[in-house]
Amino acid sequence: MSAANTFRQGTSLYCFSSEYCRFQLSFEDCMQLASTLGDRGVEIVGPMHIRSWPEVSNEFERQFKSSCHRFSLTPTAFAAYGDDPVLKNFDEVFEFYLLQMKGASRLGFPLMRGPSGDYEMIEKLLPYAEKLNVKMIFEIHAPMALGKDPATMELVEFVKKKSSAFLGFNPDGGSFSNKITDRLKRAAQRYGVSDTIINRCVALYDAKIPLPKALEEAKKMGADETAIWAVNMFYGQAPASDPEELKKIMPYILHFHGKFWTWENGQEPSIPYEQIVRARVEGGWTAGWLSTEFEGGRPEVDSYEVVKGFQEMVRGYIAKYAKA
Amino acid sequence: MVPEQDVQKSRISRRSLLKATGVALVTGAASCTPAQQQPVQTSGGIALPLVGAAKPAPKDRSFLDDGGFRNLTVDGKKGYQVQLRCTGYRGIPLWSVQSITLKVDGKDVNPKDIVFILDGGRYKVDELRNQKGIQWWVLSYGRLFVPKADGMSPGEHEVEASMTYVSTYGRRSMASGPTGMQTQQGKKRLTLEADIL
Repeated sequence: MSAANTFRQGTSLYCFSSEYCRFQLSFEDCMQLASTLGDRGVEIVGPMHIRSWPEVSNEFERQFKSSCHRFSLTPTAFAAYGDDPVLKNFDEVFEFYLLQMKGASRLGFPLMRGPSGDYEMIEKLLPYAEKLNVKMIFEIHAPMALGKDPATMELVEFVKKKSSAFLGFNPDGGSFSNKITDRLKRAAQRYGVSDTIINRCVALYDAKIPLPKALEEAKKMGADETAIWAVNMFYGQAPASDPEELKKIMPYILHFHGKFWTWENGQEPSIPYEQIVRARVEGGWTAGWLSTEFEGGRPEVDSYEVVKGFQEMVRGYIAKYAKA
Repeated sequence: MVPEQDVQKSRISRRSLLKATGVALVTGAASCTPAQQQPVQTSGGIALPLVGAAKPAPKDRSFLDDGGFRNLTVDGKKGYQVQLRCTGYRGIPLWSVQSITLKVDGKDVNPKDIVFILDGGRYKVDELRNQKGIQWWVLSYGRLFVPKADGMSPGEHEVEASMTYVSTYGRRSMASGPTGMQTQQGKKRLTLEADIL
């Protein structure tokens, strides 16, 4: 499907969550649809698709492998989680991740989302990753920003220094989002943040005024704790990573989330996908999958058609920038 | 992964299965013999019947479910139930639930009377926060069972429910909201469904 010497396109079953959660598509149906998209790669979300999560039951293992076999699907990445605040101590979080890693391994996933930023945890999990043959990928997800945000830069340095084949990155399209969209404004309005503060914050963001200044100005306008949260959230959800930054970490990128929320005129208006694809084609990224992650499912939207459209857009950009 | 070639050889498309079953039904031999299931080569996913097929009507996705409001007997006690969904995409751990309230026809139900039922397990609302390691799966219904000797009267009732839980995302994240706590609520006029025998 994709041009030679470029990355392949896959689908995260997250894309179908609207239909899945409304019992219009079963897990099996989602697998079947994924097999008609892109290069037939499939990513699953542990707690969403596996009833026995964080463990993988024998039943699910068989169901998944059987689907992959019948539909010629390739498992790409397993979305694991470790952020439950109830897991307070290191050993509990470690066990929680290890359990998911064993599950990912049994299902044949080569990649699993790892604990970004918890370096001690990563070090402890690494030998298990090698043994189970599951690479840990660290999502660079909003509010993280490539080349700007200190935590992200620290993570990049860590992975480069470790230089292990079992550690890499999974940038998410949302980290390149460069607009405070209506979706974000609505989220703030839901918590009662005033339009005056919202509009002022958007104007400051568009004028590229940095976050501390925006917070200062919001406080002057009488922002309460909720409004301060909204300002942080706006800047955090539109971190505007520069796609060119991808070239600096290219050998370490093992996976990429083709995140998008809205689909207008064949585009996601807040994410520069043309520049992202261009940077990756020019940077010679051939190792991994671009896994579509549509987050805008609603009953009136046919998620399948939207995902198909997104992958066609990406394919167009690949064709435009890939050398024959 | 199985090599591509093997997959092609062994693939039985749904369409071919349907054909085989159809023949079997017509000839009265509903139990297919292997001979009738001829594998059909497909040129990939485009031939699969699911793409473009009409979707079934969506089921309710909201916190307070449209369905499942009915009388029933649980552990020998008569009463009624209301069904709840967790609205995120990946479920929530049961320990995260801090409180649940239920109101029927404007009257508060004593939370001590409510039995929260998930996948067959029964819990008192104020014990939920102690339930470690139990996940409320995104496709499972949580049921609020309220014992009531004569059951709920037939017809329409105004039902109101809310649930406050700790967000499993960190604070300051968009999903957690400003406080790190999330509240789901719903208020609906529900018609009592017929008993399931």
